[in-house]
Amino acid sequence: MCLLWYTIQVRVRYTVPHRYMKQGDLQQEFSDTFATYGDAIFRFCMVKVSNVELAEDMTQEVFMRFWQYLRAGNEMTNPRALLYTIANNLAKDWYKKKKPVALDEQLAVGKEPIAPTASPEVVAAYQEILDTIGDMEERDKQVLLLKHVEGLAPQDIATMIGETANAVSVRLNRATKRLQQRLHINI
Amino acid sequence: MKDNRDTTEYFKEWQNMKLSETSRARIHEELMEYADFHAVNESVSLATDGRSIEQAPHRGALSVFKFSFMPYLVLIAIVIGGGTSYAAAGALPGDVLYPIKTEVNESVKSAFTFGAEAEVALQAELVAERLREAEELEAEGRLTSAAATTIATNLRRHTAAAEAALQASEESDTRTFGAIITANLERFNQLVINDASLAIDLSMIGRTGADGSFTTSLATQEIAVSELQAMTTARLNSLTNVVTTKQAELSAEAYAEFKTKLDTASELSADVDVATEADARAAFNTIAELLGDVEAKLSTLGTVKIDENSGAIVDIDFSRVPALRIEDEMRGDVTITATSDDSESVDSEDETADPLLEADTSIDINSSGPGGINIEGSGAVRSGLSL
Repeated sequence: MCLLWYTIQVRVRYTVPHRYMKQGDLQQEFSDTFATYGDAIFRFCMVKVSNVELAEDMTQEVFMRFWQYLRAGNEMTNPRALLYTIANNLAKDWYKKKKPVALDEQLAVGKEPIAPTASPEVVAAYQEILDTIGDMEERDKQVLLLKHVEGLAPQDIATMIGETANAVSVRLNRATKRLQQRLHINI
Repeated sequence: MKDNRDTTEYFKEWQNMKLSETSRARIHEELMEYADFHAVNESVSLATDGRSIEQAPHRGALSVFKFSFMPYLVLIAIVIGGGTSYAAAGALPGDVLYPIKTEVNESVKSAFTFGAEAEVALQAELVAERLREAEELEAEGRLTSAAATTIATNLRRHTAAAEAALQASEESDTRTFGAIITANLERFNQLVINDASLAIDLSMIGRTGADGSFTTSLATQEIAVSELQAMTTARLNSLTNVVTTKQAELSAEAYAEFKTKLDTASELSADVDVATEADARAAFNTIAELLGDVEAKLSTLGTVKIDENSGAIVDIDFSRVPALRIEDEMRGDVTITATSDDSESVDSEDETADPLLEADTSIDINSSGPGGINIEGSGAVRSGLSL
């Protein structure tokens, strides 16, 4: 029993090289991670919520959770994958909480930004992009984003959203065709 | 291909969807504040390889064993080490594992023995063990002079240890162990009866009392300092004499070495103040060591003649270099039986073996130490001692 416990300990200690970080180093790492992946997570959130304001808040929330994860000293080997996983879980929570809202309310909150964090032109441009895939299935949108925009491999996408690589590939293929239809490309 | 271009363009546009600069700055600032507020306690260890975070838990249960060979190495080492040690327990002199048995196993036993009585008991046990070995070798016709010498050396070592422990304890309960030791030593002497040099002088080691019990103490068997002085001087003189007369036949280095040692011994001997007994004994021990060194070296250069009474070297014949040294014999190159007339063990296929048969090895025991047991020159081997 003792031997087994020791074995597990040894495995945890020696399989992965570790480095020990203090607050300052860790914060720098955190800052760098935001600089690198902030936009990607924002895009992902945009796909999930279709709203600049909400997507920004969600992005911030994703990184806060990421910090808590770092702080707890958890194994952090691939920050990108971890960020997407957090964002995906956050979106699920968000959908659960989402109450049915009246169309005019939705318009007020979503399509016309209340706080001018982004210029109206930019928001309009973003909206155009999202409109193209507007009523596509949520999971179609996210595979399109992760594959074609972020350039992730189907296997990586699969682990992030909790599906098999095969299912992701099939979905990707169909979503691409649907997108092409929306872009008025005759196949 | 226009189709693809359109799609690609669409994705490119999508890629340009970014946080606005103001939002980015605001979020960054808020995140840093958050990180400051939820600061790390001391430090955090982070894994730094490139594996995806999700991959870690996906390993099968058996993969636990993949990288963790260290504990198994330890286990294997224990098993092998223990196995060797265990296997050595049955070894006899001449066996590869025999040194492990006497040096490792028994030293470990001794190290875990606390108290003088336990030590005496252990040494008695070890003496009995040596006897078992000697008898077993005898039964197999393998009791060569080398083996017998090894056993005799060990016996003297055990007896000395037992003596020392007995001195410390002063307990009468240890007498039974003393009796066991004495009885075993007598049996050993019977075994090697035709080789007087191997016999252990019981009178020097311990005294068997009238009631058969082992009565021993430093005082009863101690050699008087004056006697010790006389013996040492005799030995020193005869050695000096031999070295001086045979100077021509010795190499320059050997002579210089002997001369230095003998001069040192001589100086020490002159300075000995017999009045302070402990100091005198210490001095004689040092001298005995020096003389032992010289004797040991000499005995490898030629055939030495030893005075029966004093045990000192009185002459050396360089023309008859001992062809057989104890190391050679222990390597098992040549098998010579000291006690057996079994023709098989004297292998005649080696023609040069004949002269070797004349050579014999023995250990000279010179009783000058405080306990009466002092193996000169720590196992000095002299060859050619006629029996």
